[in-house]
Amino acid sequence: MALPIVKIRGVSKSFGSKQVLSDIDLDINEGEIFGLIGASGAGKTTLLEAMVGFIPVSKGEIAYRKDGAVMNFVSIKNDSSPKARIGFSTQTPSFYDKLTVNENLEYFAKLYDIPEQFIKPRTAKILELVELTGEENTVAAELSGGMQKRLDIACALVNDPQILILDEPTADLDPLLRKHIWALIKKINSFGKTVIISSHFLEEMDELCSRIALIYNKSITHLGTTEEFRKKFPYNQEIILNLASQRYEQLASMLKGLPISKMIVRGNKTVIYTQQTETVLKRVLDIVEQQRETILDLDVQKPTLDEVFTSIVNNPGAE
Amino acid sequence: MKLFSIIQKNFRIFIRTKVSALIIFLGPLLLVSLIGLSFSNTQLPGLSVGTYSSGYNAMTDSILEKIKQNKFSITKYDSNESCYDSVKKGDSGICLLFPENMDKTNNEVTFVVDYSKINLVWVVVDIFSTTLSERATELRYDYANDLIMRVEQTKEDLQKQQTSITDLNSKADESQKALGNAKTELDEISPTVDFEDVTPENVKTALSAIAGEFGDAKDDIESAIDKVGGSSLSETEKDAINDDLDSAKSSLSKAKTYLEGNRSVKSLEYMVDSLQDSLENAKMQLESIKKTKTIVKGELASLEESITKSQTTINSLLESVKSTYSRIESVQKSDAEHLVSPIRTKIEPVSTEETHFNYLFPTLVALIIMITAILLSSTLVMTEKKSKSVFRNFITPTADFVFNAGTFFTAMIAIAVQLTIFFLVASFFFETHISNFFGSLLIFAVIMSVFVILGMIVGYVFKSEESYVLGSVTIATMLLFLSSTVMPIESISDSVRTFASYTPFVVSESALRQVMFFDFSIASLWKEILILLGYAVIFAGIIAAVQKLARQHISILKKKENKKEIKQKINQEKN
Repeated sequence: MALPIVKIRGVSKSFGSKQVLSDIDLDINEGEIFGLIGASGAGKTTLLEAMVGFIPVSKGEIAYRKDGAVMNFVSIKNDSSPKARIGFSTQTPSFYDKLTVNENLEYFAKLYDIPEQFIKPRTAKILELVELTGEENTVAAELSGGMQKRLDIACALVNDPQILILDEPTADLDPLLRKHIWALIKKINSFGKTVIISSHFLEEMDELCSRIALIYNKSITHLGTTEEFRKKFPYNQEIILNLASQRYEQLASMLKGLPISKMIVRGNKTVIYTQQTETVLKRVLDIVEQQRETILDLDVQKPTLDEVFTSIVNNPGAE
Repeated sequence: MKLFSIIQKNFRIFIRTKVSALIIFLGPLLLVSLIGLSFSNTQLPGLSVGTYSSGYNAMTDSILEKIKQNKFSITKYDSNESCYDSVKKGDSGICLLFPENMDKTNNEVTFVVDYSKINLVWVVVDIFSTTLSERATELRYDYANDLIMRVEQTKEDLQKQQTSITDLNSKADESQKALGNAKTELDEISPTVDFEDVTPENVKTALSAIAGEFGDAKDDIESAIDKVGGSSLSETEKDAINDDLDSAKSSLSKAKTYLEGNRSVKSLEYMVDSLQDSLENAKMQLESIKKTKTIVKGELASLEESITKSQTTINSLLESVKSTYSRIESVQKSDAEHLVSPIRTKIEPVSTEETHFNYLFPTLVALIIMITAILLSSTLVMTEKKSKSVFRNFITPTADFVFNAGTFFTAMIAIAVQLTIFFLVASFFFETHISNFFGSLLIFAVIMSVFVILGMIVGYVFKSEESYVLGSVTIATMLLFLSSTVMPIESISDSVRTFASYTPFVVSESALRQVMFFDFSIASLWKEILILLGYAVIFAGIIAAVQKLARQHISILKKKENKKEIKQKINQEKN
């Protein structure tokens, strides 16, 4: 059984009169990918920032297991040594736009007191890991969005952290890049690093995390494995299809047997609700090809967590 | 290593921000060139002078000529009002109103100045007061020369008069003596004669007495004859004696008869009466003489008194003349220059600089350090605060102090570069020099530290990029106004002056002037250094306090930005 590496006990945080977190209790185990989901403004980022001591908590304690110890924890409030073992990638990339990729990495490496002789080999290794080799001398501002995200993760890895915290790592990336980042996270985790991810994409949580905590109404309302979570919060995605022939009834009959919650016609389009988008979409595309239909428009829309959470609130029986 | 890395990073970012690099390297060049060219003179050549007089004359023209010599442009206005208006509009720096046909008595010149041009007005008034004063001195010099010449003449006259008065005094002495003699001689004249016994009665009585005596003598003679007859004397003898006695008796009878009945006696009595009348007349005349003597004596006494008084007056006059002479004589160096300027003033500048630029140099340096340091360090802090990397910096095991030190030294190095360029350009083109070079370096470092840390506070306290610039400019402006740069600090009210004299800018300016101009040693500037270091320590303490608050603010800002971004993304996904 994995040992907890982070212990969060009774943490509350207020900004003035506004309370953001209330009595949070959480254990994060070594080596796991832990997911933190919640609507925007739920307090995910606040909790993550409090975990690195960037903002002091109003109440409670966040403690890290000492390096090499089993049960000995130190509070981040009293001891900044855990900082050296944490890597953090923020939602908005946190590096200097006007420095090159290498300069950024070298600068942060020096702030982590990495000996000079280890800096170059380490940065080269990290760049290879995040697939930014060849971009060493590119000024960060000139990198694409995906590259910037990877640079940010590279910066978070520069101190070879035991714990990597990723705040909304794929929030502004396209699906392809998102999968790229997922793969990267899995790779990093495979090196034994504990990864803590906050996201509002349930799919991402499902793809990456072994355990998920849902922050709702300032507290952690649900905590468990992804399987447990999926059972509690089934959700649909919307496949919106516009066929030139508009023969949607024929399509519906051909899709029978697939995990489709419902299918409706909206204007000259049809909307298919399903929790297994990839399977249904693959079948739809096969049928279109077989029937030699012409697709005028095809779009896949995921419900946001806000929508899911709204549905949770409106439908408490879902738990 | 961390510190060096932070400074290196700051400079990399700074250099890659072209505007910032230009400000650092070209800013001082531009600044020193502009200021140097603007202030590399000792006068106000751009000053225009308005004048008005309803009657210009030689004296006013001579004053205007004097003004022209100072390279000021002169505009003569048609009226008093238009001259006033030219000052109000700023066409003229000063308006000089001359009286009509100005002369020695009608000599009031009015300066019309605009006190709202607070930094110019006193310079202008001073320049024109001096200019007019020069002309007035020339006039005074002429007047004084004339006066001296007349005094010299008076002195000579007095000397001559002194001899005359002395002579006059001697003569008065002689008169006094003569008068004394006259008085003595007059006193010796005694017009008193006793005529009491010389009367006809007395003569008659005397004559009666003589007649009586003669009778007695006759009787005696008769008695004697009788006695002789009865005597035993021989007859002869008796006869002889009788004869003699008879003869005597006859003579006496004759004399008695003469005395008693003779006309001569009557004549004698008449003569005595006549004599008595004459004597009475003489007596009256003597009385008159006596009265006249008294009057003359009185007049002589009066004359003596007058002479005595005159002598006193002459003596007094002589003394006065002597005194006046000696006073004139005692006027030392009675030349026109001393009369016109009894107190000679000499302005001994404590520094030997020749242009406004050089005089202003320490103030300019203090100003440049203050403004650059506040703006640069606040910009560095704000850039870091607003930077995406602020969070990553924080989560590294690096103390806040190291980041602050990084910002501090970055600003210090940048300002040092600026100052070096500034000094090189200034010394090359404007021949400025620093008396105590190494002392100045230390003072620069202390001053820069104070303002850099102050700027860092501004960077931490203000939240937006607009407000921190405003804050920096406001603080710099306040410090500037509470110094002698705009207005003399001595003109500020007591309570504020005490405070103002200890502001970082005033202390810095004072220290720079002492060390750059007057070659003061660092030891003698211990007070200023201590005050500035005190400020640096206090400001550093404030930074430590405000930094924590600033971090919380950054976190809130980040959240707001994240929230905004997420909403945007959700909206995009919905669409």
